[in-house]
Amino acid sequence: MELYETEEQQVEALQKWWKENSTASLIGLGIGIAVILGWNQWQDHKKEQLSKASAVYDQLLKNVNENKVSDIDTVATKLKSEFGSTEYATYSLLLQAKTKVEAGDLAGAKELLQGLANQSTDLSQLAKLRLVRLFLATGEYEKGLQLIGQVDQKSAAGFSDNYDELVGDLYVALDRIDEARTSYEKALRNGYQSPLLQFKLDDLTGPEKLENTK
Amino acid sequence: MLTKIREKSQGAFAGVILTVICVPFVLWGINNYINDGQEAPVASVGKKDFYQRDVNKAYEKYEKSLGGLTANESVIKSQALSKLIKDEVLLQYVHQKGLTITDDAIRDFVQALPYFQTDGKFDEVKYKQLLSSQRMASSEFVAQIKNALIMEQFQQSILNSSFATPYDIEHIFKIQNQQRDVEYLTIPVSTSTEIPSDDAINAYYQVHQTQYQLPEKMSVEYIELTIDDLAKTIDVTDEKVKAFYDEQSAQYTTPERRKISHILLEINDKQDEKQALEKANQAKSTLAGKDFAVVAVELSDDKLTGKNGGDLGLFSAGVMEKDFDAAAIALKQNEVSVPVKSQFGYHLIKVTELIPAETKSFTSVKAEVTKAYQKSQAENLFYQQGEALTEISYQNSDNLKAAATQLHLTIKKTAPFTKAQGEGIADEEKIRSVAFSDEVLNGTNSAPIEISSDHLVVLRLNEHKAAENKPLATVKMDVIKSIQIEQAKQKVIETSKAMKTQLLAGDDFSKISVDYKLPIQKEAGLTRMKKGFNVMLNEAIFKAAKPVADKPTIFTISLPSHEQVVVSLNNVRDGTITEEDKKRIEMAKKNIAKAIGDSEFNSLINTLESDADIEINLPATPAQ
Repeated sequence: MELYETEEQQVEALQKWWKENSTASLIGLGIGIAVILGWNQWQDHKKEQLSKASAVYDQLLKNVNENKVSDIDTVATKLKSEFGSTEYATYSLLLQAKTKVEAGDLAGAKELLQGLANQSTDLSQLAKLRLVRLFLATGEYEKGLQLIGQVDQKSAAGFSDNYDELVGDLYVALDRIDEARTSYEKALRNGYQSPLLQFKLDDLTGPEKLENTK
Repeated sequence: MLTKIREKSQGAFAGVILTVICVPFVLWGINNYINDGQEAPVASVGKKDFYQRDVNKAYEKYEKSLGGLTANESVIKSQALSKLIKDEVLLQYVHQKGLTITDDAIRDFVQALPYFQTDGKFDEVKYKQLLSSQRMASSEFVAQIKNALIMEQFQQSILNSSFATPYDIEHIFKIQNQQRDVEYLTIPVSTSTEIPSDDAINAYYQVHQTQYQLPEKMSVEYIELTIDDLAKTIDVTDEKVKAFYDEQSAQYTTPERRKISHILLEINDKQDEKQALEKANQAKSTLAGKDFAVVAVELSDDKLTGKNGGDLGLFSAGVMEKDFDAAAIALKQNEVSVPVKSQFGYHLIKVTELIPAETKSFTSVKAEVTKAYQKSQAENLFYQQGEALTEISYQNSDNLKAAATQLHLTIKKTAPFTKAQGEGIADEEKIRSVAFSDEVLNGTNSAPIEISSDHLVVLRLNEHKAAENKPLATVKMDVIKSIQIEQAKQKVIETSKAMKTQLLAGDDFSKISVDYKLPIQKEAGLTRMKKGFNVMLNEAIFKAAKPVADKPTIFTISLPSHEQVVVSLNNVRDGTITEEDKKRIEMAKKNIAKAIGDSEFNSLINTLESDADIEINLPATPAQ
């Protein structure tokens, strides 16, 4: 660093620096301010978009609860086209799939859930589960077992009980009762709470239980 | 229908906040303030730390949400902690996903809550009062509600998108409506009258000692703090009570009753503003000689009210525009206003009934005001003294005198009570369980026990009497009876085993019936919900293995009466969906979908939980 002998020299040096660099400094400052303002505006915009999406989505939930089938598709399409980047677009797919099942359009529901299952979102496991339940309903048992077989055990850990129950259901449909019972028991072992499961398992009591009387 | 699928509602997040909000004056975490400031977090989820007081709060909330269902306290505590963590995981997740709720939706939700309403309308004063009684700012409350609603929005996305396929429904009904054909016979218990030997009596008495005991008993001394007691100690002076009365005068005031009628001259396509005003003025002048109601029928463009003489009922400000309100308020009884303009047109307004607001005079309500004043003062005092009580009784944990002297409380004593039963304050389960805790039995003061939100108790051991064996001589008859029942039970079990062996060897039921002189009972097409059929037996039949290759399933079951039932399950038929079921199929579909959705949602939360950064450091000694 240079040393200046007098204040005048310092002032002079500063003035010289300013002459050489003023434009660049001002531009830099300007860009800085613009970036900050832009960022804030972008954040505000995002917030506003989310808020709008939430309101539209609430409407969709309401339509589903009131079973207004024709409105459901309209609102869901709106969510997809205008707010496709929000989570609400994904949720609306789930709701649409349910509506299709209710209307008896299992093929349409499969297509929607297949799309979700292929993505790697937090909800893809849920979509897969529901997809396999549709396979069960349409008699594609082997296909269901195959899809579950491909599931990555580790990432699906939280859903393992649901999968075990579903595997049991598929085996029941295939009349492979011993395997079904094993799957159901596996699902129950981890303290999984499902009134339907206990109900289904009780129906498969094996002959060995016969000796096990009180 | 589908009785096994009970309505097990998932945590309605906003609902749980409210159960707590609306219980007045709960002393959150008062037991724990001593460690405040230097304590380590009990649990953390990501960057969020939970301290003991948060866990205590969560526990109280959770306990309240159970609505009086009681279970083991430590179980409830661990469930509460687990729920606290799950809720936080979910909250962080929905925030991270950018989910939100509009301000409008929050306002609509809060305003629709009956807690904050008077006569079905949102009452801002009530809202503020309730919140301030919880020492909670409106912004804090709204933020909590917002979070809860966001979580509910996500939860609904999962639950409401869950479905039951036709296969699911058919499958459930196949099981639900299944029919089973059975034959069975019941082996009765015949208690022997044979007197067992003294050795046998003595041996039984020794083995079953706990049955022949006088239970453990104790008595405690205690001090109690109640708002009612404190209220009596509040000094009253006329000035203070008067000041309170002035402040709360709204409470002692019946609001003004003002009934109004109007005649409307509309501004519309047929008459412009000028014409309407002109007509209004004309109408006003005809009123000099004619009754208002008659003119309303003839001239008012508001046909609906016109029929009834223009009657608009009770006036309340804010329904119409400002000018209309101002005019209506300024009128005396039976006076008619000049034409007043609104967006509809010109109105002539008349006040048909006017009962002025009446404030009860101070002297007439003085007794009532005095009580209310004392109570409100006592609430603050209760909070302060509650803290003092905690502190003093903790620091002087070997006596109650210190706390009693400083807080001017009387030390009282209970009569002896057992773990199961007591009188006075020992009637409370809470009191008994604390009294029999190690802490109290070892001679220290208990932590303050909150019997209700306005009643705190601190107790310590007075006298303790261990359980005591009753001498054999006094219980001999009981022992003999027990042995006889035991023997009879054994005999029935042996008989049932013998029968089963015979049946498995190929004997048929009728032979057994003859051999043992017991009648066969038959039930063809038994269903799960068959009325009048023994429920335990029914359950056992439907849990039994299905017959294989026409070979009946033979099993025995013991009833609470100690009778044994030997059953032959001969046939099982799949259920079908009956006409009766079809009527309620929508409901069944919903129930099945809900059960599936609930379990999917749980699994989803568990997945999020296993991915989250969670730490739990429960203190070594369980907190009070």
